[in-house]
Amino acid sequence: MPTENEIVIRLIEYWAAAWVPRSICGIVGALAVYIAVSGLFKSRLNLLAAMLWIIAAGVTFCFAFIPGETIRSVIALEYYVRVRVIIASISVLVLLVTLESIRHTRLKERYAILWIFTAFALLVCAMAPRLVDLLRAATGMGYAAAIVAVAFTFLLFVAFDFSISLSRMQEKNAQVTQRIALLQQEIEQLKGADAPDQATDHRQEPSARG
Amino acid sequence: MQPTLQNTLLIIPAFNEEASLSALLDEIEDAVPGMAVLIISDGSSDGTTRVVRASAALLLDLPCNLGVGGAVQTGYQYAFTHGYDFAVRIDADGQHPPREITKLMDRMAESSTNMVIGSRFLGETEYRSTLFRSFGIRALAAFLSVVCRKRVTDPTSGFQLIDRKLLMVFSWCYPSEYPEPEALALIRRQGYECEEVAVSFRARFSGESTMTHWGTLYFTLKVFLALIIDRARPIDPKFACETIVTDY
Repeated sequence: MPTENEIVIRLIEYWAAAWVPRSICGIVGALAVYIAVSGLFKSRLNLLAAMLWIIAAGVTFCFAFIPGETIRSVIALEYYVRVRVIIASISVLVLLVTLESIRHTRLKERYAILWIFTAFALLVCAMAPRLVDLLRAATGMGYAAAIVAVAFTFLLFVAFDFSISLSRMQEKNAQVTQRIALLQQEIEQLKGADAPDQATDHRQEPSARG
Repeated sequence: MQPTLQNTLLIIPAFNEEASLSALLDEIEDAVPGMAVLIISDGSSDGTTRVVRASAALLLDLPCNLGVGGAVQTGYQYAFTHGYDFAVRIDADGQHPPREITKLMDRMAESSTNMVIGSRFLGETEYRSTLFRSFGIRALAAFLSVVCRKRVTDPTSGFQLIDRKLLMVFSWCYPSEYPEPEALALIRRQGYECEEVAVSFRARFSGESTMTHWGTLYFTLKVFLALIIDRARPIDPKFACETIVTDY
């Protein structure tokens, strides 16, 4: 029975021998980097989109040329360290996306606070594993199912809040639509009243119909 | 106060009904001459607005589709702000014959109730329904009769005449999901009276019914749920029958 690390090492060796897919990966990666950088300079892309592009392209590019030794040293690292690095990068990404969205005023402050708080909580978890240990000891939630339950409840509340906002917005949207139709009718009525041959008030002059 | 041809507005919600509207408008002119007609185009993408503009009827053109509840409510808002005392609503597909409108008006004049509903199932009618649909409607009617403490035979009928009090209520709050049964339950909770009159419906001029066999069962279930949820909501005392003020 091979361990996880042995499986990874075997995969690296297969990948090192596969020249064609590696070259394709490299070309695609280089192209994506070029697109992202040129887009950024001609300001077709905003900073955030360009950054995401460069990250994706860099990963693809590295995948083609990364030496086996690097991967070996990475997998030699402790499991928890790797998880922390991943969580930290996710939280940094969430923070960047949030801040950038606020800057472009696409996000209401009410939701911005929620997402910034989430990103910071993730970041703290990644930076201070002792704190997580303390929480675990205090609450007794040491197993994955409990963590999942907490996270799921949190997401459920967020989704619930969204559906309330959505309902409220639908109602307001309907009211605006109705008002537009009523006002448009009134405008047409006024325009019609200007023209002398068109009697439009049917309530006062029912005989004007037909 | 009695409904006349002058103080009643005829409201027709229409979504892509260009095929049936002009024939219907001619029929209305014969059946209730001189009654103001308001057509609410519910975000129609065909020639509905063109047909209406070519006729003498009034037009409200909703810029996007709100569903029948939202469209009808817009009509009620118009009727209320323009000082009508009554509003009668019929469907645009020709299912509700305009010559039956006077039946509703007569009943309103006799009994001075707040709402008169044209029912397919009261008395002898030629209306034939599929097994599924009649079962669904019967179940719904039985449930609604209990909720309303009043016999209801046709809970989904859109053939309705309402007075100014209800115009006020519906201008402010009108259910949007399943407007007919939900509105009926709502107004009974607020203390309004409603009555049914037997009318004969006919086959629609054009278009298909939106409900298939299983769709009907599903629809009935959803209406049940909606009614139960509505029941859990508090009612607004501002709109209660005894205290409502209909001066604008």
